[in-house]
Amino acid sequence: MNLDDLQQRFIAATHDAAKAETLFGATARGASAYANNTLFNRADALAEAYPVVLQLVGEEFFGGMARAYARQAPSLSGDMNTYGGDFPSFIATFVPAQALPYLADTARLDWHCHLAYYAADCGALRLDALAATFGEEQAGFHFVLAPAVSLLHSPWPIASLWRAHQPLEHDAANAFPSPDQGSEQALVWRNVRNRVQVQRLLPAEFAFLKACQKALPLAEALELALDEDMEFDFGLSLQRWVTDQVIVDFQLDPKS
Amino acid sequence: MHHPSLPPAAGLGLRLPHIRQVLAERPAIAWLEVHPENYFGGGANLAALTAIRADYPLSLHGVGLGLGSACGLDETHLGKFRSLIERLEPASVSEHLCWNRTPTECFNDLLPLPYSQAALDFMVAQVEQAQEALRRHLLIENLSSYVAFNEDAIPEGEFLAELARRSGCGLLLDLNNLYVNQHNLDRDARAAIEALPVQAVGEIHIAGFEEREDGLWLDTHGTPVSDAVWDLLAFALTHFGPRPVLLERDTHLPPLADLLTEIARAQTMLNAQETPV
Repeated sequence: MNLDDLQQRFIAATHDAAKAETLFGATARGASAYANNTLFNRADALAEAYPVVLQLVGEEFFGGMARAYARQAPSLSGDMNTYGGDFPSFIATFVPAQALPYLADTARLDWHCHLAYYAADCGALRLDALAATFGEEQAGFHFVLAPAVSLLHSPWPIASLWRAHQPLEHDAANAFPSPDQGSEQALVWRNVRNRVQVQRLLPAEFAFLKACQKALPLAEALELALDEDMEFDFGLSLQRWVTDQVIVDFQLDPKS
Repeated sequence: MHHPSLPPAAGLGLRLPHIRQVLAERPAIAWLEVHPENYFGGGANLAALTAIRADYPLSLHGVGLGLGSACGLDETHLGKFRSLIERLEPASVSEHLCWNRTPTECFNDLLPLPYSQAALDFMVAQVEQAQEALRRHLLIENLSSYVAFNEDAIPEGEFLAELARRSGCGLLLDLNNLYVNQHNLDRDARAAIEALPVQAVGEIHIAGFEEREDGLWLDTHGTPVSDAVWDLLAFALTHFGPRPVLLERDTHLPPLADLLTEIARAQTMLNAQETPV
């Protein structure tokens, strides 16, 4: 038997005692251990990646939901940290979870925090280089966000829900929000101390960073932000986002 | 500090829940081993490991490459592994005698190969290819297995010896795996040890296992090292001489202090080795 066939038959045998008998003879009883390992390894990886969902539904419910997903979602990489990116879509259609309509969006936020945790390292924006460019070519460049940055929009208060589930931030200011308190726009980033952060954004801030993400020129990004709020304070926001390593670079746009 | 090789002393498999404590307290451990997959990308884990690596010889022990997968090596995974090796310059790099993928799915497990001539030929080629891609000499670890193939034709020790001889790789001898196989598959652990070329064995692993309801032993690394595995360690050290010995613990992770007590026992055995009476 060639090795390709044998490995395909190995996987089938982990789910089928008769096939295991054919391949492994007297040692066939051990085959089921592999199916079990695969299922629980995947479920464990999801529990790591989705800590707020886990807290919201509890271990037992989470385990059942994670294994239901794991049975139909193959892993594609030997790097288990990449497993489970479409778990939020699965949650959205998972009937037993329908009582928590905000769960899928909470899962999306968890996943983007997980991505931020393992995102590539990058340097900080060089303010002197920026200043040198500012005078002459202000409208001719766009800002670049860190690899760890994500922007999410939800009809649910996902940033407030996330903050209410952080162990050190559970105080009056971060009390469990009412899921009905409305939509939120959230920023995910990793700060200079490598901690993943989530913050609720104002519409103008979200519009500006979204424009940066799309590599729109600064002039256009500013226009979109000011459309949301004439009071948008560009200088102050920029300073904060550079310090926090949300904005980490800029690129000159080719002259049109 | 750059460490060109692992010391023949007792080391610890460092897991993420202990990394901050090791970073803060710098306990006296001769060397550390980690799974590279936990440090792919960037961020806090890699920053902590980079700091730790300055003070301890480091071994990168891969669990995700699936060298023996018939569909070939995963170039993306190899690339991430190589970047990490370049960044950390570990004293040792190792992987397993296993496969983990079909063309459509990865199983994130260490799946056994048959001990056949065809599988041996294939593994030799895969190990050579991986050593070239990673630009490192690899140690390849023997597996614990819950099944034996009807196709098996070569004894475990001979298979490993041939793999090392033909591919030029070294061997990472896992004693708990031999012991689990002895129980589950009726193999002879001591015979496997005696079949290995002495110079090829670059590292020894010890760990604990758990028993399934039906009596099958599972290689969970979830319990202290068993007395029988300590006996195998004494046997192996007598046979091979002093080697880097590593304690692996992956589940039911106890406080770091408990693991330090366990590796002290391995160090005592190594010390007795080095100064024969």
